[in-house]
Amino acid sequence: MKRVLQIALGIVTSVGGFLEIGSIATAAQAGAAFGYRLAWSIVAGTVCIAFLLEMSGRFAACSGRTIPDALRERFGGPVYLTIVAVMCCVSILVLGAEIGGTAVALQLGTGIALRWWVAPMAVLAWFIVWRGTFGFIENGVSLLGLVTIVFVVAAVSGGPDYGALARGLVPRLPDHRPVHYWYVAVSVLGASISPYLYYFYSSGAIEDKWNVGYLGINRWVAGIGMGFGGFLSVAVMVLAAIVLAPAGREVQHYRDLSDLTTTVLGTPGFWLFVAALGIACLGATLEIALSLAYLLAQGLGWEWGEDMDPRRSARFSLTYTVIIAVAAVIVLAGADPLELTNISMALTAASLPVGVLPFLVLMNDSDYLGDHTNGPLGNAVVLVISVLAMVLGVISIPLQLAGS
Amino acid sequence: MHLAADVLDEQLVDVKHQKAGRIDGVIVSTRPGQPPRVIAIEVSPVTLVARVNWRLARWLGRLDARITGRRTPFRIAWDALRYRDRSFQFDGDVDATPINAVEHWLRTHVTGWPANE
Amino acid sequence: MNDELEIHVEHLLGRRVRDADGRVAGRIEEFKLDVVKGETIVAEYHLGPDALWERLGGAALHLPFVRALPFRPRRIRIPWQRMDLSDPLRPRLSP
Repeated sequence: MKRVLQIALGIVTSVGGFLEIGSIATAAQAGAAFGYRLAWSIVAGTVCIAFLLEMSGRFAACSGRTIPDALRERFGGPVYLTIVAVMCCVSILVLGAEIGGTAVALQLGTGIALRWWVAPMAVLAWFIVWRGTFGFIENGVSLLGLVTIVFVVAAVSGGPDYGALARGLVPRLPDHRPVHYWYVAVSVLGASISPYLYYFYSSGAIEDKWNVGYLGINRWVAGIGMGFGGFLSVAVMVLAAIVLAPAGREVQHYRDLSDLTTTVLGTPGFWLFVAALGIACLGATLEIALSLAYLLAQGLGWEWGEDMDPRRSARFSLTYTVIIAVAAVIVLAGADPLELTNISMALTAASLPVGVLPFLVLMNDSDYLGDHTNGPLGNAVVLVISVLAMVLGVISIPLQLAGS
Repeated sequence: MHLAADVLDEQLVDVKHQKAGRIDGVIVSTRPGQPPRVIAIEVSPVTLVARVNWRLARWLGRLDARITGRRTPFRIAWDALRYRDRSFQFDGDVDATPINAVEHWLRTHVTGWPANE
Repeated sequence: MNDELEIHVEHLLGRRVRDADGRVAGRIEEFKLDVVKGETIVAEYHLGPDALWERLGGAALHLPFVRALPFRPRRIRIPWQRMDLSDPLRPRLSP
């Protein structure tokens, strides 16, 4: 019974923690510009992250190490520092987008300009990481994130074209605006397959003291939790296809996003959207900040742990403090949160191999995993999707930037 | 045992099993007519960065010297190390070494962690 | 005069080694240790791409397509007697 409850909690928190500003914005842009045609990119991204999360949980449970630990040990200092540099640069932009997302939610709800909310939301996020435990951050905020189910309710209520949705699950070439099509596809993949997610997951498995006995729970949580989470992204895309696409509207501002639920559910839909955006972005802010701090502390051999007194793990605490501050400054300096979201998701996709390929090598290392190394399916799925995302990103990002 | 795969970049802990950084460098001593002998490890961000870029390491070294007062990276004699529980353990207390100098400074001046804990 | 030279092993990793004729024999990718009379010594230097795979635990070879890559596996084991580290920036093989 205890295992069933653990699995249920894990699935529920995976669902509640899945959506964040990247997945909401990119799925909405996909639906607004191309209707149901990019549903395949959401599915591909979800499948890939489900595999990656299962792998990272398995790695931690079998080896007793986190991914950053093993990256440093197996690949050496220079390779580890390169991975850290790339991951930090990209993830701090994503973090800026998430902090901006929380501020936008408050702007929508109060009418007060988002620049007045950036600093308070950054301080709130820092305070939660400083004072909260890992369990509170992992479970508490994610349970609140179940409010994002409003997107599914609205999508079903809006009367989607299920036939077109089914056809959209099959990848095909675009019939118009090919550069923008592939750019949005890359952004969707980057929003789904964020390396900070599996650094956070493996560290969490160690914080929760997972062992080989947790492999079954891990499979259920990663597979079904992420599957349902991807379902939420598809719901956002469907809403945009129903509400924005017929009117020829694209997502230019966050107000366009709030119209997704408001148009179908009325005023309650607006307030639920505000809550969903704010909580989803806050949860992602906490995860990214911790994830980068884990990446540095573990690879450099410092004391670390969210459950440790933050005054004692001073370098670890200082790391996430500085990271949150830098990300907040990027938004305060005038970066538009939506543009920041778009470019950070696309850069995440383009830089995927830097994070994913070394991790895949580790997942085939029997010194760490014993008999639980990857099978050919897991290797192939992750490798193909990551390399594809990178190739598409490298091609489409410059073209998109040149075009705009 | 292999130096690069099994020693370099491994976790270091002290006698109380507190984390003490990672093995950032390994020093061997060459002697004419005899095999090179492993004599010490280095634990220092300067040593780590020097593996990537000399100029950056020199700059970091000046900064490290200002904070820790040391002009050379901290070394632990090879004979003082034991391999235990998937990490290298040295015979000493990390708080009595410069390894945690920055950590101690931050605890004292920033986070307010009590010195006697 | 003290003929002992202290060398940072991590700076030797990846360095090209030339033989007595000046031809490149390979890059240093690993050092095999041994304990002799209570001293830990470097018994062998491993050069070549296979030595790099060895250092990475051989795990990368399980990835799809890696085995299809066109490289000739090559690992050269050099006993300590043959490695001249008098100039650590330019390691050479003794004749």
